[in-house]
Amino acid sequence: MSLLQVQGVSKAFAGLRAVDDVSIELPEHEFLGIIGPNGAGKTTLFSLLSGEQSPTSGQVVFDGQDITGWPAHKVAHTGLVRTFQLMRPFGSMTVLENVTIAALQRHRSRPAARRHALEVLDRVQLGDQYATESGSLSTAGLKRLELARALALEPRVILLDEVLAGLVPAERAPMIELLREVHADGLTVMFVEHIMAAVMALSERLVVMHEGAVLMDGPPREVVEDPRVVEAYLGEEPA
Amino acid sequence: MSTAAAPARRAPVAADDPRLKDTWFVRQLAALAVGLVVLALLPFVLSDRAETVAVRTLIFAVMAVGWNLMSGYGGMFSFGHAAFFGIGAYMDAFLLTEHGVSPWISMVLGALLAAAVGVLIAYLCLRYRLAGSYFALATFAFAQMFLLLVQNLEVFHKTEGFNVPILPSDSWAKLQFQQGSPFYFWIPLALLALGVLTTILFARSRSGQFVQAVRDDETAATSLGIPAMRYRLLAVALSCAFTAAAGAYYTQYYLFVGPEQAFGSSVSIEAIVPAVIGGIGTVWGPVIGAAVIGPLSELASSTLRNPPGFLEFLEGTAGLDVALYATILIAIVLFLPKGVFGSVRDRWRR
Repeated sequence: MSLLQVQGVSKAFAGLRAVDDVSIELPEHEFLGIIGPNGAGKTTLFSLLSGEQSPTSGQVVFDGQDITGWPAHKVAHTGLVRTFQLMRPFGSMTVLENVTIAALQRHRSRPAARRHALEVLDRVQLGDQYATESGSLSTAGLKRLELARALALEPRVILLDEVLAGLVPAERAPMIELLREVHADGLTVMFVEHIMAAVMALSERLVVMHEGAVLMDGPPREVVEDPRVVEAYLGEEPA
Repeated sequence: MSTAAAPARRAPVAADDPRLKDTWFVRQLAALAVGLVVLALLPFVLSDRAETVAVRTLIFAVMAVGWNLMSGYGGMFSFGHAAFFGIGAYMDAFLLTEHGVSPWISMVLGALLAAAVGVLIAYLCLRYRLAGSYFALATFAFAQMFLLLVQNLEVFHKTEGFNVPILPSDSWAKLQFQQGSPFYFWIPLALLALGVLTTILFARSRSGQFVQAVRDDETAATSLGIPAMRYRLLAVALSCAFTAAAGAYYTQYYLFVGPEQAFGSSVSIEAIVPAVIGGIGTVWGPVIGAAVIGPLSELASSTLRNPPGFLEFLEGTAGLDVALYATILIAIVLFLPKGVFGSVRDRWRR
């Protein structure tokens, strides 16, 4: 049985179906890529999975448990954790304090949480910037901070929303390597990405969304060469 | 909740890694201890009149420390802390004059009731997604409702308020001492120390860290597993309890309380101004702000009572203190947006 099952999930906003009858299976340890033009409903789908919004219909099942409509904080505790495309640091806190917030969910004591947070920061190569005010990090730093906070929760599935967007090409390769490592360590990943080089490098399976619905779902090579996918992307060069 | 799938390839960090060194806690406690000892000596050097100003300043400080827990650390801007100050003041006055209950017990009861009322108000505001100025307006409206209620209820003597009967001799149980007794200073000083200690402990506690995360970014905090409402309401409860304790002490010190002194909107402003001047969301900001505002408000009111020649036209008017607060607030917001303490601290760090 898949670790995460999305079953016929829809979300309608005042008649507009932002997510339309989406079904996706995510087996344990898979690295699943989701692509699609802007407005295809990818980020909304993440919000539905992570509990920020409730689906209008359909079900989200995680590890055999129906978590449809659960509040976001409860979903996070099940081990399903997301990051945000627009980085959301806790601006009044240092980098270490930001990650400690997440680590406190796994450790009752503050010293243990701080130690764990620092290990995660070392892991994402932010360890030497532990005392930096999070607001003054570069984009690349903030992306790593988003990832670090999510990892500090020790999730089973991580939903990454455009972790590579905004990075200059030289910053992408180390990030891709890092994602490959955390996946190899046993994490199940679902990621939304526009940068096709990264999508092709990391995805074991690829889902294409278009106008709220799943257009294709399959091995990455086959998917990107499908004429329907090429057409959906017309006018929006898959960079 | 399985943690088996956690990333395993982390390099372990030693328990004595220098990056884990955190002296904040110790430094704050040391500052509190030193400050407490120094301030405790003040009654021996202050004149009776100066001590009155100092006590007023301490009451300001306790209110502001309370306000800061909810609005500074919690990010929920309250414009209605008069409601909680008033609950404390009236609980004390009512139970003492009508039932002879010790002010110490009333103080605790008032704090508990204020915490409960605050939690209810905040829950309703947050439940219906009032944020920012709408949240502030809603708290203001609640405080005004309490003011009107008290002014119109016979059981609370309507607009006349309560006079606390003066006892012939000192009484710890009834919290009354001879005029000018240092205890009148030490008791609010102890309340303030308790408030600051609570702030220090709260700021670094699990709950306090979560509250600050929610303040900085609710969506991000929630996605990291923090139930925002629960921790916010905790900050509100603590905040309202301390503000109510300040109110109870107010009644005991001035031996009189009426609706305006307890629930008036100027009380809400007096809870906000020291924190804003000193630095919102910092441990010491409200205390430093109160030290600025307390003497200034005394100066303003004595100027009005007895104006110098060129200000003679002001004689007998009221409200100079509020005008003064407004002027200082504008200057602070323009030149020291993080408050006196916040700005100095930031400069120090660079």
